[in-house]
Amino acid sequence: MKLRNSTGGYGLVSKLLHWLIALGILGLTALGWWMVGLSYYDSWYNRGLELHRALGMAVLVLASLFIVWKLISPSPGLQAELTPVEKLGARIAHGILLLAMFLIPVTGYAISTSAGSGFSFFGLFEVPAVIAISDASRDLAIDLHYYIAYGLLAVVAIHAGAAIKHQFIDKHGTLRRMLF
Amino acid sequence: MKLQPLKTLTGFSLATAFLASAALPASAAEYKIDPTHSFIEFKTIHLGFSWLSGRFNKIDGTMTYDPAAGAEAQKIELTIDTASLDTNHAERDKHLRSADFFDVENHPTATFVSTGFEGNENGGTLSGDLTLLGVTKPISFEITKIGEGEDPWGGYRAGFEGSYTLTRKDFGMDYNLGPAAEDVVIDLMIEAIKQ
Repeated sequence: MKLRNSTGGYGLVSKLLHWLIALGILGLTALGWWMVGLSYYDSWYNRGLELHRALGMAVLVLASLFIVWKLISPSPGLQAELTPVEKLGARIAHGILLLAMFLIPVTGYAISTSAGSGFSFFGLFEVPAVIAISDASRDLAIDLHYYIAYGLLAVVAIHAGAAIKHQFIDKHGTLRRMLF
Repeated sequence: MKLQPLKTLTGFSLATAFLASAALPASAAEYKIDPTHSFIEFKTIHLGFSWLSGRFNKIDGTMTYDPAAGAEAQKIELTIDTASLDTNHAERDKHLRSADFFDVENHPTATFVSTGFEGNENGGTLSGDLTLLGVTKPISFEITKIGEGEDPWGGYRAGFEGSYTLTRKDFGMDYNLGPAAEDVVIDLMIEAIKQ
């Protein structure tokens, strides 16, 4: 399989990034939901958050690579079988997915470093704090992080549901485009 | 001629002071808590290793303190603004204000209203109803007078201290902080000014 995309299909790099980011988004949302329910005395109370922060930064790096690769690599484009309305819907969903995969980790980073101190990336190095933000800004960042993350699940469901519909109902062979 | 307005003012002030004192009840045993010299602090054991302490920055209350009137005449009422809690860590304070702990949105105040006292002018056992998170329980604890007398500015003050240890879950505050942190020590340091 080719590394680069071509006008005929996606290459290995795009496919790999797509699925790693998908796994990251779903895993981080599940981890986030689980860890906020933990009580102070739970052994995962701090570890869950540390893992969530580090994984979030990893996904931010992957999302950055994804965008760069998308810009410098030829695009196979949307499937020709799609109707104009479906194409518009797909573009909107893709736009939201791309935007959210930056907004969620960026707000998460802002929350984590709001006090002006950094955090550890899997014990390998310290992710530095760039700016200390006010309590009000921090509360705003928490709300944004929360609503965008859970709201994104709906868009993910539409995105995946549409791909499955075009695969199995419309028989467009859609899933093959993103599988290895 | 220049002194005339001053004389008038002095005369007026004396008359006002006289009228004000005449309006006071015969037995002036009513006190108001001085919030700037009163402290209600709380502390619990952190994980079994050390104390974690905090305080309520906004408190209010009144006291009837008149040793001559007998033990049963002594009264105190305290109101705590639960949202004013302060443990010197904004994130923790936010958590403590949430529904996991003080639930300040639904229970903005905690109160103590005394129902009885046994002892003398130097202290004794104070009984009363403690209301926290909407749960009212009768409690009693020892209090000690630290001192009383005229302050340098013409007022009359009295100060007491006392301590009570409560079990959080008795008031529905059952968030798991580990077995060492189920009890909380409440320290009262109250200074009141005679009205």
